[in-house]
Amino acid sequence: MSDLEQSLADWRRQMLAAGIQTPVPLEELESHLRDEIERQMEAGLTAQAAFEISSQQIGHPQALNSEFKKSGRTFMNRTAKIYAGIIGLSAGAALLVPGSLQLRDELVMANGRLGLWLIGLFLLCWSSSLFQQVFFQKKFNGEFDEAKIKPAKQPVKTGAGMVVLLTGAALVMPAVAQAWQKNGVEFAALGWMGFGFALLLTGSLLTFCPYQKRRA
Amino acid sequence: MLNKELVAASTEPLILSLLAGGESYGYALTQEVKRLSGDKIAWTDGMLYPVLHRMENRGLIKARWGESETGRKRKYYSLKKDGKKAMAKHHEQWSLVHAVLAGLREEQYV
Repeated sequence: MSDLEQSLADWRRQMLAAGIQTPVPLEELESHLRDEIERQMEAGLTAQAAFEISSQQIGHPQALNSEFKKSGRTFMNRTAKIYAGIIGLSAGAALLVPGSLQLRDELVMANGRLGLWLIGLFLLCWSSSLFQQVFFQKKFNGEFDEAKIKPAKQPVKTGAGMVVLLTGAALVMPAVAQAWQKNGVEFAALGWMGFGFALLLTGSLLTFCPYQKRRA
Repeated sequence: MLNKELVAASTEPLILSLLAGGESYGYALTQEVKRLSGDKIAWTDGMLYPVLHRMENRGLIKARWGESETGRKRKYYSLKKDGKKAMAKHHEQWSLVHAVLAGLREEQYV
């Protein structure tokens, strides 16, 4: 192995030790490094000097890894989000059906079916949030001029979120208590619970997912 | 040399505009920016890639692995429909800033 190849192998090891993933983005960085080394050598530098300069220019492994982590914070890519959203939506709808049919026919919902109904509701909300991230990304990226929303100050936003969150929890509790004690939920309680869940979701979004932090 | 904040803010519009001319790869993008700016805009080489990956995740650009003339593996990027829209918007916003600055300068010196 030539000296240059040995240096490149050492560089790869340093990158891997810092947490840079292979093949992406390490292969891409190595391709860039080799291009720059070639250019420097064409300009008259020795292979080793070209490597030293080029590897410095590409950046420190830890700093690079930290930047890549930021860019990879979306935990799924677009295609995976669409597939997961479709599966979640279908499974959620299927879980909602038994409870909803019982509610329509008997105006009550058995405890077990209520559990499935709630999981279905959660899956529907989760799938909707995935679709929102994929198809309405601009709003999630904080482009306020597009969304016609002005950014509120963070403490106000968090405070409002907590109030909505607690109101939601208060509305959900009676229905949960009824389900626990009577093994079923009445229609009116279920209505309030649905409203309570909507408030819980809104409150959580306001409190924990502020628009400004989503800017890449 | 351009200051750090301005370099960071202009990276995305520059990448989009460069890719509007056809698909390209990271190293070529850095060299093109250096050439066009007369070496006044210098991206830290490795830092370009996290930006490219972020733009890919946001659906502005797409990537494919290909081969260089020497047979080495290389990742090529090209513009997507949303990227074209984003580029148009960047151009509009930067032109506005430029027009305001130019107007202010005229008011002061003419």
